[in-house]
Amino acid sequence: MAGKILLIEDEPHIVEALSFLLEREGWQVVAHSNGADAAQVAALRQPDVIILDVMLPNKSGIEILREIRANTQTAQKPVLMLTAKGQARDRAAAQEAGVSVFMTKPFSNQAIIDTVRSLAQ
Amino acid sequence: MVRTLVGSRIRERRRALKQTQSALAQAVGISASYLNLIEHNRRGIAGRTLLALAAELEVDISELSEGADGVLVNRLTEIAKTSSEIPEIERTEEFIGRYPGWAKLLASVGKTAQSQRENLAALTDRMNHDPFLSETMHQILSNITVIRSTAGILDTTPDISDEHRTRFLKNIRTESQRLSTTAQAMVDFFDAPQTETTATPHPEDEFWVQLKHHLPELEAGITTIETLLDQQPKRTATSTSALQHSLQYYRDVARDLPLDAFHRAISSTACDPLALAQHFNTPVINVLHRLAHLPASPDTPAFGLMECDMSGAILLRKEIPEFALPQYSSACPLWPIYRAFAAPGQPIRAVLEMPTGVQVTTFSIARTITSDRYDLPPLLRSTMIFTTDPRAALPTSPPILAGLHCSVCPRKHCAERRIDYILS
Repeated sequence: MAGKILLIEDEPHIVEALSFLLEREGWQVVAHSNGADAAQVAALRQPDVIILDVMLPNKSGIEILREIRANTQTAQKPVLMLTAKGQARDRAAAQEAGVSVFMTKPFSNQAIIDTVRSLAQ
Repeated sequence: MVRTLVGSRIRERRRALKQTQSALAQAVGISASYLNLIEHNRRGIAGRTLLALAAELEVDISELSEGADGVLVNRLTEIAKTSSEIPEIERTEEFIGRYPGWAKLLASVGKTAQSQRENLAALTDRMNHDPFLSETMHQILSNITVIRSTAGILDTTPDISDEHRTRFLKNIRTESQRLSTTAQAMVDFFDAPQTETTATPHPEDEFWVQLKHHLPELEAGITTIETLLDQQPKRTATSTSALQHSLQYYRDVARDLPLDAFHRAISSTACDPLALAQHFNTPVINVLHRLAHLPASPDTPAFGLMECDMSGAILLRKEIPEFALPQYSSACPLWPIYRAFAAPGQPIRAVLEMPTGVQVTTFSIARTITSDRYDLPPLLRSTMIFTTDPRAALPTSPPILAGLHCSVCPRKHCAERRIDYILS
């Protein structure tokens, strides 16, 4: 098995597609849709890579990323942020919060697989 | 003197009298060729020759020389300068004199073109900042992501199980339908006729937008309130009164909180409105207005402003790029500007977290506009200023999870929701 991925995303069809895609590559995918406790789930599950959507119910992806970075249990975890907003200020906010890779939707399946693979190394 | 119309008027008057060029030239003692140059505005004319021509043409000299259309000259010159291929600007007066009808037509077309350029700029600005369009684009990109990713899986996974194939095909169908609904919503948005609520701003609001919320000439005493009011077209008695009060208030606040001293105090108080009010011994509402009307500077946070009356109608708005405001009503009820009505005079500070994750620091207060009325409650007006600048961030304040207004807010379980999210 390649490792564990925490997928924090509230669009169920994106979760289905990404889970299928990554599981075929040997990853164990844990999906979580609620922003409120996402950082705690990351600390509890200890994934190898976190995929995080920017727009989530109850808490923004940027805020969750800050919490992940502030927690010593998750501070070093690689985080791939997904957003449909590719605007410069969103990208700047994500970088300031400590994102590892920032990817805009729509993305190619191969790009996701390659990025997750490189982040896990 | 602009010589443009002098020559043309001489020619018109001569023709009206059915006099030949040579006869007129002889009568005033100049050559016919020189008169020809004058009539075609290729030579200036003044003094004795002009007096003689006026006498011979039986008109007062002022009828020939006054009223030359300097405005038209300036307008055509401005139009010429906006062109990539600049024409013979030095011959503008001659052009007006020779072809006055064409000159006026060109000026009119130039004015229309300028107006359309401004409309285009406003529409482009709207495309970039409109919250509905932003949300719609977000939804469309999400739909496309699912369709692209799922279709890619179906295309590149020949051994996919029937169960997965069926489910993914269903997902593509669902997302395609959503995409079509969202696209239709966008088309409807552009097709919708402009209604009063979206197209007719409050005059005070429109006025300040036009003046970019800062009036250095009024502060320096170079211009007056009356001059500024005179520059506002389409004024009614109500709007004039509102604008006058607004300008007087601005001038008074600027006088009490001089720019240099205010900038220094901002640094020493960490941009805290209450501390600034105490520093200048002035009501906090004055500080809020001064902060929102400061000229743009890297040394001070940029504040937006919103004011509303007790019905919630927005009377004054100044946006900042990171925080859009609704056009004229129906903002999110969680915004503290509305809560301020519950305790007039009590300043409220709060952080709003928008669905995009942007955190906005706000200061709000409601004040009494008039209370000297029997058996009626006081009229209140509420003000909120806001910024995303971290220099004005509040030390300890959990954010309020807010939105812009319900129709474009994706917070599905919000207790304050009154209408559906348009993209749900």
